[in-house]
Amino acid sequence: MKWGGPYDPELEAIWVPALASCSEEESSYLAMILDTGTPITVFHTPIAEFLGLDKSQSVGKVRFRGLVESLEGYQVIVPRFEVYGRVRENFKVAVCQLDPELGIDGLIGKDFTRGLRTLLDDLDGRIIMTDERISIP
Amino acid sequence: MPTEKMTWEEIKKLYPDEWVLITQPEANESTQVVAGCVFDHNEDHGYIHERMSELKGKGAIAVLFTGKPHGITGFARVDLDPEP
Repeated sequence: MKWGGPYDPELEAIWVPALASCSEEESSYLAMILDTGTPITVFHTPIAEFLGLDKSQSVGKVRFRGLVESLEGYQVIVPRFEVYGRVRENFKVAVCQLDPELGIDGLIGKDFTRGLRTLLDDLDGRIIMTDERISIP
Repeated sequence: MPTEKMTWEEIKKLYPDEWVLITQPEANESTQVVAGCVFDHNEDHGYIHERMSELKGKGAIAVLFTGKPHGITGFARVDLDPEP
């Protein structure tokens, strides 16, 4: 299988489109940063709450220990999470209150690409995720 | 009040460098929003999140920025605890 799509290589980060859904009535398209240095996909709290994934749905805690301060949040199960056509069902994500000044609604972590070969083409602005062999000359 | 359906290119031209809250989003196969109705728009991301709560349970939405977003760097260690 192969999934993929375009991104803008001129931007300062790798912004990719995503779709998070709990039901037809509770789903949101988002622009998220692909951050393979983050072990778990992270949603900004207002997005999770819109999806009905508030703290009452928590399946675990999460703590982000930063250079100057720590952030605490919770983990929830997103019934459907899609990036470039690749769908993860019952996908566990972290939820925390991000600084609104950051201007992000979430990070796509390494958990999304785990088990796949991921090719980042920063010349043409394309990401390919596949479970097939990729020939790199 | 939401606008009539517009393309993403039209939305970007009409509301440059703003956050837009879109209802009835249409997306391509790459999950990129290509059209929708603008429910509200603002430079303040937090304001858009407040408005978003009014649309809870009323169908799919999209929250997008029409400008060029900044990069971020994340220096954080992540500790996951299975206890709710």
